[in-house]
Amino acid sequence: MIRMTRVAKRYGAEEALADLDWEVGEGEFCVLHAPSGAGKTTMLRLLTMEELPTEGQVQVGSFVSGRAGKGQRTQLRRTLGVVFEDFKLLEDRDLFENVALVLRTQGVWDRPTLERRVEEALARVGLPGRGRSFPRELSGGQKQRAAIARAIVHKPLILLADEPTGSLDPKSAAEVLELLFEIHTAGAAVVLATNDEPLAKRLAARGVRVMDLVGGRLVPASAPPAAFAPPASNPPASNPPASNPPETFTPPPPPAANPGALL
Amino acid sequence: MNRIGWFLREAWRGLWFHRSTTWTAMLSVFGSFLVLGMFLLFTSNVQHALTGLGDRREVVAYLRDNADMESREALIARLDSLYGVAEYVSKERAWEEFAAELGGTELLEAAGQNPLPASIRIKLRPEFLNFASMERISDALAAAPIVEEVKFGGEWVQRLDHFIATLRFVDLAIGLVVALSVVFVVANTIRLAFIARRETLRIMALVGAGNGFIFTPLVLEGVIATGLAAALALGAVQGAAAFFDGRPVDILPLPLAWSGAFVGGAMLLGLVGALVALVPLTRKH
Repeated sequence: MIRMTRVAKRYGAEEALADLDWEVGEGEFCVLHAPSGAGKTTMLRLLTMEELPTEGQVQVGSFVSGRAGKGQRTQLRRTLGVVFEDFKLLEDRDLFENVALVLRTQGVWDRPTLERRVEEALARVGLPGRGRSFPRELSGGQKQRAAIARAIVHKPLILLADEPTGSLDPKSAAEVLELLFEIHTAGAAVVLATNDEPLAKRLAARGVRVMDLVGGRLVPASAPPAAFAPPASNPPASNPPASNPPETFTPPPPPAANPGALL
Repeated sequence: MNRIGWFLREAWRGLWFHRSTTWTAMLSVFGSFLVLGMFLLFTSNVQHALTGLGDRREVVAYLRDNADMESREALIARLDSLYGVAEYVSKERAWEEFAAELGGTELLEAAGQNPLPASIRIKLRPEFLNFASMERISDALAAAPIVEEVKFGGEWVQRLDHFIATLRFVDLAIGLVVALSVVFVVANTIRLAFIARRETLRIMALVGAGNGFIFTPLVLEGVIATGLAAALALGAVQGAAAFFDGRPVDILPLPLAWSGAFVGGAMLLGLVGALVALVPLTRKH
C-alpha cells in the first residue's frame, strides 16, 4: 500500500530524511513518532506527493513518485484522507460545504447524493445534523471530527493523520483516536504522526506498530514499558487488539475480514 | 447545484469575502473604463454627425454642351454599375435648383440665358466615400469625351477622412492604454487573491482538487469584477449623455451594439488579466 525505498529528502544542505525504507500494508495502523521538526510532516507530504524525494522512491498504491505527473498526483490525493493538527477546515463555509468539497473534486455534483453522503460522514464522526454549522461554532474536538468526516467521506484506502490530537483536550483526543480506530477497523490503512511520546507508547501497547524517526531515519520504537504492555492474549500484529483498552480510549473491534475494503 | 453554478458561487464568495480588495480593483478599472467610455461617446456622436455629411458626398461631372444623349446614357449606365447611383441633371433642372437656393429668379433672368451646364451626379456606394476612391473616380470621369469638368469637393473630403482617421487612432490608442491598465490591475488583483487564499487553495489541492477546480473561480472573479466595473462605467457614460443632452448640443447615448461590445470587451480583458496572473501559478501547483 505504502512503500518508501531508500528515500532521502534534503532542503538545500539540510537533510530532513535519509536512506529511509518503510512499508505500510493494506489496512495497517502505523504510528510515526518523533519530536517536532524531526521530519514527520515531511514524510506525510511525501506520501501526498506535495513534495517529492530528493533520492529514492515513494510508492502509494499504484502511484510512484518520479513517474506520477501533476494529474496523477491529484488522482493520488483523491484516494487519501488527510487530517491535520489544526483541522484546516475552510472557515468561510459550513461543514456541509467543507465535507462536500472532497466529493465535488471527484465529480459528484448531484445534490441529493452529496447531502446523503455528507450526512453519513458527519453522523459517523458524531456530528449528525451539523452540516449547516460553521467551523467557528464548533469546539476543537468537534472541528477535528468534522475534519475526519471530510477525510473519510470519499471512503479512502489510506488515512494520513498529522498530529490529529495535538491541539485537543484529553477527552476530545481520546474520542478522535477512537474514531481513527473505527476507521481502521473498517479497512483503511492509517498512518498517524505524533510527537506525543505517552500516546505513542499507549498505541504501541495496543499492538500498533510504532516507528521512531530519529535523525531522519526510521527505527522501530523501543518496547513499551510494563505499564503499557499489551495483554498477553493480544496478538503481536500491527492491528489494534480486541480488548482491555489502556488509558482513555475504547478498543475497536478486530479489523474487517477484508482490510482493503472501502469504508 | 451543478458545476457551473458552484464555480460562479465560489467566485462570488471570493469577491465578497475579499471585498476591500475587490472594490479597490473595481474602482481602478472603473476609472479606466470611464475615460474610454466618455471618449467612445464623443466618437460615436462625431461619427453620427459625420454620417450626415458623408451622405452628402457626391461626385458631379459637368457635361459639354454638345454631349449627345446616347453617350450620356451609356456613361450613366456604366457609372450606375460601377460606383453607385448616377443621375442626369439637365440644364433646366440645374437652373430651377439654383433659383430655389437663391430664393428668386430675378438675378438669373437678368443674366438673359441659362449659363448652367447639364451634369451627372453620382451618389457613391459607402466603400467609395473616401478621398482616394473619389479622386480615382473623378480622374476616370474626366477622361470621358463628353465630360467638361469633374468636382467632388476634394479638400473637405480629405479633411473629413483625416479627421475620422485621427479620431479612430485616438480611440485605438486610448483603448490600448485602457486594455493594458485593466489587464495589469486585474492580474495583480487576482495574484493578491491567490496569495490571500493560498492556504484554502492548498487544502483544496490536498483533498484532490485539480487546477481547473482551483483556478476556475479565480478566473471568474476577474471576469465578473471587470464586467461589473465596465457596466458601472457604461451606466455613468449613458447617464452623462442623458444629462447633457441638449445642453447645448444634442448628445446621443452609446448605441446598443457599442454598449454590448464595451462590456463584453471588458470581460474579455478580465479573462486575459486573470489568465496572465494564474497561468504561471498553475505550473507551480
